[in-house]
This record gives sequence, C-alpha cells and structure tokens, in this order.
Amino acid sequence: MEENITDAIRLLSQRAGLSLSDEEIEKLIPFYERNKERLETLHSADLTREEVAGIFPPQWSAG
Amino acid sequence: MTQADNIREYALRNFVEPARSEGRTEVTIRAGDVATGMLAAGLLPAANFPNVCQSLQGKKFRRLAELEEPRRTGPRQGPNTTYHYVFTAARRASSPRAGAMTDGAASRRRNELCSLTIRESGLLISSGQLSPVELTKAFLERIEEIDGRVQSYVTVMADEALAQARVAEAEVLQGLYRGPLHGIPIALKDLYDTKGVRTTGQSKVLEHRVPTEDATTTARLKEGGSVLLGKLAMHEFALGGPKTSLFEQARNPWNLDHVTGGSSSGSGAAVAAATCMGSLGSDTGGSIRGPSSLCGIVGLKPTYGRVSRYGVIPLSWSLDHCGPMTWTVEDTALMLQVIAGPDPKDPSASQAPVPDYLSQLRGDVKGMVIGMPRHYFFDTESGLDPETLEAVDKALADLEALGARLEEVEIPSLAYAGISNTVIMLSEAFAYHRDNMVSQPQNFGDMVRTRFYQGALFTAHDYIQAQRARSLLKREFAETLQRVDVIACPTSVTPASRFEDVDPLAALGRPSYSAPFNQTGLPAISVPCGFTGAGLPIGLQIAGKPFDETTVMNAAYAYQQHAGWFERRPQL
Repeated sequence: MEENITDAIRLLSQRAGLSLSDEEIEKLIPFYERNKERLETLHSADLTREEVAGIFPPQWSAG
Repeated sequence: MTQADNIREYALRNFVEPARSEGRTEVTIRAGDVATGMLAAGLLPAANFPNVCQSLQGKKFRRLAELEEPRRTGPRQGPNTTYHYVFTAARRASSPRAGAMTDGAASRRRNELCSLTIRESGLLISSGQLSPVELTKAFLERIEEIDGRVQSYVTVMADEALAQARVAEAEVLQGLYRGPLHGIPIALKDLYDTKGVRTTGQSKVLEHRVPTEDATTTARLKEGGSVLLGKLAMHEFALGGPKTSLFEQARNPWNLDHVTGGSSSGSGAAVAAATCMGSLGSDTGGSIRGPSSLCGIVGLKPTYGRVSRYGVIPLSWSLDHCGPMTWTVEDTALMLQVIAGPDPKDPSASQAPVPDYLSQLRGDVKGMVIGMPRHYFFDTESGLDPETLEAVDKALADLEALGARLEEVEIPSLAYAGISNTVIMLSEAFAYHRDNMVSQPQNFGDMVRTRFYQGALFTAHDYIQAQRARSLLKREFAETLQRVDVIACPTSVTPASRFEDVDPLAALGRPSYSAPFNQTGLPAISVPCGFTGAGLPIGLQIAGKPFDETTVMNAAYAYQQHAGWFERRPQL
C-alpha cells in the first residue's frame, strides 16, 4: 500500500517537473494520504449543475 | 459615526480649535451651546444633554483635544453644565520642567501618541495640533524599544519615513491636506512591492529582490500622504507557517510565546503592539482575518476585485485579496477608502463605485438580519474552542440586544469548502512557484516547500471539481444572502497556539472558518469580541454581500462601540 503511495507521489511530482528525494517523498506521505481522504468528500459531492464560473450572479447587489 | 463621535468632533472644531488658534490657554464649553449649535446644523436629532455632557467630559475627547481634566460648574447634567479646560500644552509649558520633558514624561507622551487611532491622529494633524514628524518619531522609537521582542518588522525605513513625515508636515502647514491618512505612520506586509525597497515574501528565494515599481496599493497610500515605516514579517510566500527561510517570525503581543496566526503575521503583531497605526495584509484563506482575530485587532478582507492586487506577490490568483488591518473599524474604513477602486493594471479589479465608507458608519444594527450557519461554524466537535464559542455567542446576543435579528441558516456545501480551498490554493501556488521549486528548492523553507509540493500532487480533475464545488458554494451563499443581511461566526477555530504546538498535518483536519469567504469572494471582517481566560484575543467574523463592505463594517462598528474591547491594549 505504502509502496503504491510512494509511486503515486513520485509519478505526480515527476510530471510536475520535480525530482524529489526518497526522504522528501516519505515526508509527503501523511499529507498526501490526508488530502486523499479529504478529496473523497469532494469527489462524492453532487456537482452536476455546477460549471467553473467566476462571476457574481446579477441579482447580487449591495442594496 | 456615533452620536458621541459627532459631539466630540463638533466641540473640537467649534470650541477647542478656535480657542487654540487665538492663543488661549484655556477653553470653556457649555453643553447647551454645543447642543444648540448641533441642532441648528442638523447634527443632533434632539437636544440630548446627558449624551453631550458625557461626551464632553470623556477621556477620549480630552485626549483628542489635548485637554486636561475639566473643572465643572453648573449642574451635573443639562444645558447649563459647563466645563472649564486647560490645554495640555499650556500646563506643560507652565511647568518648571518646560522644554525638557523627563524620560518618564517623554515615554508617556510617546506611548500616548502610539495608542491614538488613525482617525484621532488625522483630526489632530488636519487641525495643526499634531506634527506628523513627532508622530513618526514616536513610532520609530517604539519600534526600536519593543520590536526586538515582537519581531514584526523585517525592514524598518526610518530615514524614508522621517522624510515622508517632513513632507506631510510641510504640506499640512501650507494647507495642502490630502485626507485622513496624511502623515499617518503605516507599514506593509513584505509582499507589497515598494519601489527601491527590498520586498521578499519572507523567502530566501527573493532575498535580494528590489522592485522598480510600487504596488497599486502602495502607490495609493503614498498619494494619500501616509508615512511608510517599513515592511512586515509574514509566513513565507503567504503560506508556509511560522518557520521561514528568511528572517525571524513575528510573535503575538498578547503573549510572546504564542503565534500571531498567518500569513499576515507581522501586520497583525505590529498593529496590536502599536508599532504602526495600520497595515496591509493579504488573505487567500484567512490571512488577514486570522492574525487580526489572534492579535485582537480589526481586519477586513474586502470583496474580490474591490482592491487591486497589482504588485502584490501572488499566492493564488483566484483567491488572493488585499485589505487593511487596524485597531478600530473606523480606521479600517479610512484605509479601505484610499486603496479601493478600479485599476487598469489588475484585470480582476472591479469598476464598482467606491462609497464614502466612514460617513456610512452609523453604529446602528436595528432591523439587520444576521445569519448564523451553526451547523458548520459553531461545532465544538469539529475542533471549535469552547471559549471562542462562548465569546462569539455573547457577541451575537449583544448584537441582538442592539436591535439585530438572528436567524439560523443552512449552507450545506460548506462541507466541501475546506478541501476545495486547499486544492485551488495549492494548485495555483505551485503553478506560480513551479520554476523556482524546480531550480532552487533549497531556498524555500521546509514548511512552505512541503505545502507547495502538495500542490503538485493534485490532478486537473481535483482542481476542476474544487472549482465546481466553489460555484455551488457561491450559489448557496447568494441564496442565503437574499434572506439575511450578513453572516456572523467565529473568525478562527482556536485562539493563538504556542509556537511549539504548531502542527501543519493536524491543521489539515480542522475546518477553516475564513476560507469560504475567499472562495465566494464575499467581504468579511474580523472584530475583537473578547479574551480567553489566558488573556488571548478572540475574533468575531461578519461577512456580507459583494461590494457591500459598508454593511459589514457597520455591523462590526456597532458591536465594537458597544463592547469596547478596543480600549484594552497588550502590555509590552
């Protein structure tokens, strides 16, 4: 299991252009695992209606 | 402004200043004359003599006007109550030690000056009663005396500050008054670009970086005549934590063994320690409001787009906000007034008009509907400190007693706010810092490097889902804010922890009470609402509709004036 996580971190970091040492990867494992748990909440959310948008809805006003 | 503020200002302008300009050493003020004058000017709805009398003999008025304790004649209340004051300067001049204050007197004078608010100092400067040079010297001496312990400054600009103060003084004397920040000593988080002055983001990566241009906010503060005392400590690149690759970390003025919160650590510490009158912080997940809460000051994250981000080292483009950190809500309004507005250099800066913030601070919350998402922000089982909960509940009860209506609201998508903010912030941060992470990783501090590496491990799918969750959050907040005027909650989950107790991994498990307002872009303020048994400050957070900073500040101002926590200062 831990080997898979190490491989995943190595692969993802290499894709990003980083050359992490074994020690650095080891240090990242608990953070990676914690974020992975938190991501499950995000990926299980019902976001069917949602787009990637960055504007305020027009009905919002300061009044 | 409260009625008491109006009374003080009216008396200052119509009684104290004329007496002083005539060279008199004393001034006599009759309550009836003040009330009649204000009634005629439409400044007082009805002659309220108890309020007039109370405001005229109060410590705040005496300090503002530099008057000694008055001798009262006539009845205690009513139009014939009359106060006879001696000007503080006249008393000093008639003392046998005139011209040479003792060390103790000089130190008291300096501390008095440093504990004035921006608003109070501005009134004194504009009326020629306070010298920007004397004020700036007082702050520089205080920095020299206590900042070795607080460590809030990474660069002190003594020579430049004094030069700016001399210019401000000359301009005021010539009648060229630029506004409420003219001659006011402020400081900036060390990620605001300052032309010719090193700006590092508190990272070794940028150790020798000297910008050739001011950030838009820096330029606007300069145009407003403020005096820049220096650059302030921060978490490395606004993210790392209290250990950085460059400079010491700021300490909490209420207890130096405790953190200030981040990332605007020095901005919070310097205002709380009275080593500057106001500062600018930046806020990507709570970095203005968190340190404000933990340091017992006021901090505003304005609406996304309200204040230009040009010339501010980014952490996460879509979540970064710039805003003021000050001792009082009025001071926050004054700083926001100067820095807000469109900026062609920042594509995200809004064209929305900027209202006159100070004039709209009425301190009235009658009929205001305050939404409380208790399911997320008031849950001790998810880590909320019980003393914080108690203080915030008491503050909300106070607001209710002042005439607001409390309403519980549900915002289910808050469940995703923590992780979506983490994904968006760290992904964007890694994208910005990626080249330096590849070429010089050793120059990043351990804490920030570990966090940026996490940003490299999220996938595009994670990032897109986080942005979609953000859209849902914005929609639900929009629906909620159709029914309520503001949303109130604690600013921080816990008060300031000890340095040795900082644990970045444990922090990942805690909810963030500030990040939802970065994702929605809504304006949110932190205002002090009490102290723990150990004497550490607690903050109340109030958020509102986009570009409605006025309502947000007004609610905070009403509470501030009612609760009076701003009267308490840390002992250093």
